Amino acid sequence: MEKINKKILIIEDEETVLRVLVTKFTHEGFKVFEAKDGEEGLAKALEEKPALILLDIIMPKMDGMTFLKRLRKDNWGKNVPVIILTNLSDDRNIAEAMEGGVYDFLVKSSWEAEDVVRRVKERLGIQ
Amino acid sequence: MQNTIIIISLLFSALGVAMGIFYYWQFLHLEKQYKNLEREKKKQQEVMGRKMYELAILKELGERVGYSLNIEKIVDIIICSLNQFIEFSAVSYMLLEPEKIIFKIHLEKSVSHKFIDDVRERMLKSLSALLEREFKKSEIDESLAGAIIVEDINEPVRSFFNIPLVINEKVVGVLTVAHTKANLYQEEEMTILYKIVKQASQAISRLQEVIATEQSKLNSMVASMTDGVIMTDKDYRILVANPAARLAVNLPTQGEVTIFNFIENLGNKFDIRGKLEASVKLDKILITDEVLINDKFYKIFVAPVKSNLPMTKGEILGGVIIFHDITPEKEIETLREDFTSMMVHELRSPLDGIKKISKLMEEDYIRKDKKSYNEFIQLIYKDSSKMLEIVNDLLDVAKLEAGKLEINKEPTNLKKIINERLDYYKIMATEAVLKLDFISDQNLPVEINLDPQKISQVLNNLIGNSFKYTKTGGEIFIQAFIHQKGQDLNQEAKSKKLKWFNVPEKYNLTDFPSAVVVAITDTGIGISEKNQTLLFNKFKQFKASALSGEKKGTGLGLVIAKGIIEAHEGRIGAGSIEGQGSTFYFALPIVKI
Repeated sequence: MEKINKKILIIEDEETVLRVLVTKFTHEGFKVFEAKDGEEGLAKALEEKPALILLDIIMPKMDGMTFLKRLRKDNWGKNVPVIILTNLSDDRNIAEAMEGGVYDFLVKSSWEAEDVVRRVKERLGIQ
Repeated sequence: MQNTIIIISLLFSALGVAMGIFYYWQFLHLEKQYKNLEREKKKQQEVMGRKMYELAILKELGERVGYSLNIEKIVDIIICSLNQFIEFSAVSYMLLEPEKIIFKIHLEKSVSHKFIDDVRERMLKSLSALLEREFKKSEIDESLAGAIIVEDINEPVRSFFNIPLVINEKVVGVLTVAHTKANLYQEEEMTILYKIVKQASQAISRLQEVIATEQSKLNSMVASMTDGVIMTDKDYRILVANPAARLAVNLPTQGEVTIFNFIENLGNKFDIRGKLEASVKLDKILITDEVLINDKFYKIFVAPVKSNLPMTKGEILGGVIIFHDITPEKEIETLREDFTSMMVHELRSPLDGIKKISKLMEEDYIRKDKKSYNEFIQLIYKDSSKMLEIVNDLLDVAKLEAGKLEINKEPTNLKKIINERLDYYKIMATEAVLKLDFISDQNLPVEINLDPQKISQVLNNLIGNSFKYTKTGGEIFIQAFIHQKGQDLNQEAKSKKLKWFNVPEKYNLTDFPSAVVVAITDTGIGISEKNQTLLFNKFKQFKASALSGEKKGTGLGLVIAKGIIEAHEGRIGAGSIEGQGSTFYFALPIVKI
């Protein structure tokens, strides 16, 4: 698989989901960075400045919503596309997130790893 | 001889004449007396007649007054009856209301404006004199009935009689009769007027007393109700507003309140007036299921109040509004909803993980990569274990709640099962660089009646929790000792020099019989005060666990542990200082085997 050479940051606290996504995206040729909570995620995001961020909502230390708010305050951060990975029980956060400027929602349990990849590629304009 | 006869005859004649005069005189006197008697009798008959009239009118009044406390109506009734035995050009009354004076004048004969003005003047003067207050004409709300005003009839007021209207020893107005003829309204005639007015006043006063008593009984009953109750009359004036109702909308519990106070404080949350109107109009009870007022949820009932008296049956007297606090039920409902949705979430996540991983493992590049492959197998194992744990916990909790948790007690060596648990955790302890220690009292009974498998489960849960929440380099102490009945647990731990975080009062064992206590103390992150209140509560613990994002178990373990210990007639409790550590203990009563 040719290198796509785009950086992508995956912030997800569920080990399994994280591993699957990291493996998949690495295999697709992305340069993948990962974080297990909002705090780590924010640090990595501002450091590596990925082309896109996959974000989980419910996480320890700093949850997805707080991360998003902080991210959007940054000059670079306010423009980076974010796709939220969630489960249906996070409904109430969805409205909040839409105001925070989010590209899309993917309900974890309804999407396979390759669907996520496809959506990311769409957003980044990659074939 | 002839002379003697003449003298005797003369004497007899004189006697005769004298007697005649005497009798005549007597006769005249008697006749006079007789005439007097006749007159007397006639007068008495008149009086009797009048008395009968009085009685009849009083009886009628009594009946009517009994059903109506409306003073205006009563005075109207009195006026209607008056013309049966008193002549008047006009009869009128003035009644004192808080904001105005009601002046009603009924013309039996046509009179001029001047006549009416005169009557009004005099009445106002009387009222002022009675109440020692000045009254202005502008305060008068006047109405006229009966014959028409004819300006040409320029007859002034020549006879006038005033009676004060007194209810419960308070002057509430005056009643007046006036005539263009002079010299009417002598004492005699006025007696009946006095009596009527007095009778009516007394009846009203008595009734008001009865009502006041009943009202205060009702008030006490309503005041003590936990539901908020408001009762209004048909003009939306508040008759009763109990403390619960006032508190619900942030009104003071003492002092007067009006419907406007309620309308204002309720804002647009509940249209109290609209509901009252609708309820009365439709003649049914209106229920509003959920109204949020000041962070509490209420179910509000609005119902019309109807009269049950024979004369006024069905007449709308007013309305009643009941505020029923459903906040606790709502809370439980919310907790239950949250619990269910979180339970689903907790189960779905690992399941989804397994699904995703399995899919990925089909890929060649994964199968070929031994390291990744093994890693993924581990993840599947982890996720399925997690799910199993959740399912088992849920099943246990369900059993607990259904009362079907089975405890099989047998004489068990407590130290032995604790040591077994220690062996199990030793490896973990070394890996996590945690010190794990077991200290036990010398005089601990060798065998205790308990269910070894279930108590092991409790130990597992408590020790496991300590591991989860204690960082590297920390310490976990398992301590077993005897609690004496009547002793303060915290004091006992102190005197035995145990590693201990004081437990709050509700977890103390002061009233608990002698027991074996097993306490697990760790130097972990501790529990915040807020979370300490959630500890053994199924819904709250689960929610707190799931929301924190920390995947450290369902939080149901403690709930189950509590169930197990209580099934042993024991007690479980905890104390903690956030940032320093926690102590969890359970106590099993010592029963002489």
